[in-house]
Amino acid sequence: MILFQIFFIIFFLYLTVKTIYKRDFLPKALFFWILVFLGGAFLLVFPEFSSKVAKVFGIGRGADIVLYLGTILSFFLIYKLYLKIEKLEKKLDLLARKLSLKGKH
Amino acid sequence: MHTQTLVIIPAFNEEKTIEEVILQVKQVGFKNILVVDDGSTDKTRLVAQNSGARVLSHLINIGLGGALATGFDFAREKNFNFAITMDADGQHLPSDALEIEKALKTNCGDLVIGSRIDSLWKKYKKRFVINFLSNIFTYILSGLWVSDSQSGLRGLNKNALEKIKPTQSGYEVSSEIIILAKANKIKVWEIPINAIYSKYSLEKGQKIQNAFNVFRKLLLN
Repeated sequence: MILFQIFFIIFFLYLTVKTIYKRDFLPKALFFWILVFLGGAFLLVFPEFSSKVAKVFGIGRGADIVLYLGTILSFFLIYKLYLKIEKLEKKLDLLARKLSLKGKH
Repeated sequence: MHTQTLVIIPAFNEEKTIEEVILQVKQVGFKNILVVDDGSTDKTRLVAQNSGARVLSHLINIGLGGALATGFDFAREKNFNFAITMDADGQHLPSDALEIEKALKTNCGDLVIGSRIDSLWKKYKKRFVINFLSNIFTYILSGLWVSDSQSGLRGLNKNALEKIKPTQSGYEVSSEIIILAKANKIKVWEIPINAIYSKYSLEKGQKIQNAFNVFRKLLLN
């Protein structure tokens, strides 16, 4: 095992423990993030697994499929975040408008 | 006669011009003036109150659309027959607001828009281009051609007030109002008005860079 693997395995395990102990997430989100972190750690311990999966999908190297999936996941998360921020902004606007009409400010 | 009409002035950091705008509007006979202070960080609220306007303040800055929506809500709540929106930077003449009111009262349209297109063409070519592009996009989205889709001087009667409830928070609200008017089969009428752009109002108004944002929001929502 090379230093790179050890470092990132520790990092992913640290994130997992931190996520569980912080109790900031709802169960669904908690499950998702633990899956991402432990999945990352698993691929670092067993890099050959990603190569096997890559072959099934017709992709040459294991590292490539990890990169592709990471990119797709990042886009998906940015999209979700964008929607969430828009929704929050709308709620905040409505709150400020309602307060002003009630003369609370 | 003017008691049935509410003049709505959305304002964000307009302490330099708001007093004069309110006084001029009062001078031509309007009795009910509402300034929607959109989270100003200067003395807009205080100056407006001292000038004799009713002021509603947003705790945070929402944008032109949010301020107009608050104004429309207030007009509905207080049962006004007509609402006229006007910019706080002094670019509109109160006499034009009177013309808008006249058009509403004589049933020319449910939504009466003051079109600056003539004076823009004559004096402010860059503004004319921004407006023309906005008109095209508004037409694509609404199916209704309006010569000045971004005009801040407009009037609504009760029918329009009941049906036009904008949800966009920023400058895109101007196009949204036209889209909603068309969707709700509201009669739209335009009358020519003057535009007086000072250096101040040119700096504060819509920028061409903002156009992209406006259309992205209109398309996505």
